Amino acid sequence: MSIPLLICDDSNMARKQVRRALPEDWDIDVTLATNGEEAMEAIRAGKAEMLFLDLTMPVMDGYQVLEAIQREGHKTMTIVISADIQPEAQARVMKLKALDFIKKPVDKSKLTEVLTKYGLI
Amino acid sequence: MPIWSQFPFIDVVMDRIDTGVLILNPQMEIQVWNQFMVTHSHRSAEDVVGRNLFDIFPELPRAWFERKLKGVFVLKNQAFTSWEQRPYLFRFQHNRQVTGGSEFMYQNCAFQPLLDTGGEVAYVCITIRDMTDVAVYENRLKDAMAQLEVVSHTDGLTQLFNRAHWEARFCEEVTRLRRYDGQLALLMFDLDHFKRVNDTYGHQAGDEVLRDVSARLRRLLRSVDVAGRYGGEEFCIYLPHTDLCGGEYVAERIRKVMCRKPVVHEGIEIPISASLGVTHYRCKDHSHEQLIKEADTALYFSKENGRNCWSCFDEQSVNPK
Amino acid sequence: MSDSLILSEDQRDCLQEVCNVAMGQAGDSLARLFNVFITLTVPNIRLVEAKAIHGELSTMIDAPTVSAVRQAFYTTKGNQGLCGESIVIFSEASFHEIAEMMAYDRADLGSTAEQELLLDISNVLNGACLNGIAVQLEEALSYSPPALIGQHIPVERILDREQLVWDQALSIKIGYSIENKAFQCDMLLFMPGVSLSHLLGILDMLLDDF
Repeated sequence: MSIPLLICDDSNMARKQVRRALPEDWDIDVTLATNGEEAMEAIRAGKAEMLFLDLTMPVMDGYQVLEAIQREGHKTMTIVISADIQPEAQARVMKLKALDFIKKPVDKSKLTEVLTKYGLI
Repeated sequence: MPIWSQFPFIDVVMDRIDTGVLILNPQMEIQVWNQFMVTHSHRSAEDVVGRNLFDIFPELPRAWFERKLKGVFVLKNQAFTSWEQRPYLFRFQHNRQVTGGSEFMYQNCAFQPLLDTGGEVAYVCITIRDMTDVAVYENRLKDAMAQLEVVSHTDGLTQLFNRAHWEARFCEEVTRLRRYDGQLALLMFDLDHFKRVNDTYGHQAGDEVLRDVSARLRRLLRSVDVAGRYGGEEFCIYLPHTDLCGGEYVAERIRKVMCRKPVVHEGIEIPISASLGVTHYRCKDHSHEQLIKEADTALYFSKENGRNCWSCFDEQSVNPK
Repeated sequence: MSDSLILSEDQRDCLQEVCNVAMGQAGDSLARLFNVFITLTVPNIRLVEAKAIHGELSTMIDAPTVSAVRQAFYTTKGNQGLCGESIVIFSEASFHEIAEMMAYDRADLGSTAEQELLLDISNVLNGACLNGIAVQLEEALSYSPPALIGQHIPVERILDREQLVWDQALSIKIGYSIENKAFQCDMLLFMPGVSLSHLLGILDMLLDDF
């Protein structure tokens, strides 16, 4: 069965970049969200076993999504993909139980490396 | 590689340009020191290359300099200094040895990171431009502007503030009071029978009277009090942090100091006296126009009641004293 | 008057993402320089008309008086490319806080030290952010020294409408604030005319890759 995967970023281009960086032969069912609120709806609807999450977004940002996931007790595995590369930003998302952190612009090899590290592919 | 990098005279150009070029490695050791630097520092390239910058120039502001360089090394970013904020990096002689105008060379500096093939900062190139000409002229311009400002605020005859400037400052003061509360007294006064002075002794004598009156006034006031020439022979003074009682005290002193001695012009004694009106700031909706009107009303009352006296504005009545 | 330029939704989105990445890098630079955490917001991209610039400025900057620094940037690759001016606008924040972060000596603190600090911070932000944008667009930039436009001036004094020689420009607003500090500044990048057409061309090439 294909893995429900959610990509949440306010930028269309960034969402495309993530999609293109995903392994071609990976059996996934992709949903897209443009802000944290849409992401939470998708998560509640069971569309996000995996989540690629941006931090700086309008309406509801990435930190708030991570908090909501914890609060609502979802089993979503989140990889943060953000332009905010401050070490402190990385520390904060890890504390909020993100699986890992990838710098933007995302590249294929780095993403594959992270997915392999956690045995996801 | 740029086309000119192979050109044979590039090293000559480096020594001829009217800009200091200095290259440092991360250990702060001087790598390049062009002729501009040699000429102005009186230190030869052989003397300084390979040595620590701060050993050779211990007078450099080290903490500041290192902070500036940190930005270049850590962030791989250019940095700049301008003579307007920091007159110079190295205290050099300028080339205006004849025309003068400055004690030292004003400098604009740029700090450029030089990256190696791995993208790391291998060296920092510091370029120093002589800005003395610009600085000298700009400083002259600033002085001229400052003088112009003084002139535009001052009444030429009395050297007190002119009406427009006095009123603007008074308005600011009242606005401040309305926001932060406090006290203020306002005095307006007028010389008695001034027209008669002009008619009897001539306008030059009249001018001398106005000059003498303002000199007496200046001697009497505190440095915080602000006086102006309101019109012909009418003067205005506001006294910050002063209540009505304080205003009355100053009014009486002005009255006394004006009538005590005559003004002497070309050996002729001209007796003078003044009539005054006093008011004070009382509540938040008190505007500066209102205060001026009140002081003027009180002044008018003094005139009507025998002159050479002062009156206080009172909502009910005005009484000369 | 030159033909009006239009920014398509795709171009705007692409540029916003490029700015986002650059802003992250600039924020990181500032954070490392001050040892603080920088709060970032989504960049705001607009095409602005010179004649409406004062309205735009007061909408973008929500402060009665500000201090502002300008710095020009220009391409170092050939004779055509990105160029424009960046204006960094500081709210009337606690200057002493910034001074402390920059490790200025107390004795150094005067009005010229304040100016130098504003210039230094602007330079760091401009360098980091614009270099970030340039790298992604495969450009290379150089900069003029930063210069003070004014301190404690009303927002509309930042740009003198009478002096503007362009009709239309692209403006990118990037906001930085330091967590738990009064520090707040906005960076406004303005690219008028030819530079803007050049930029749109690059964005189209980037978009073609997708």
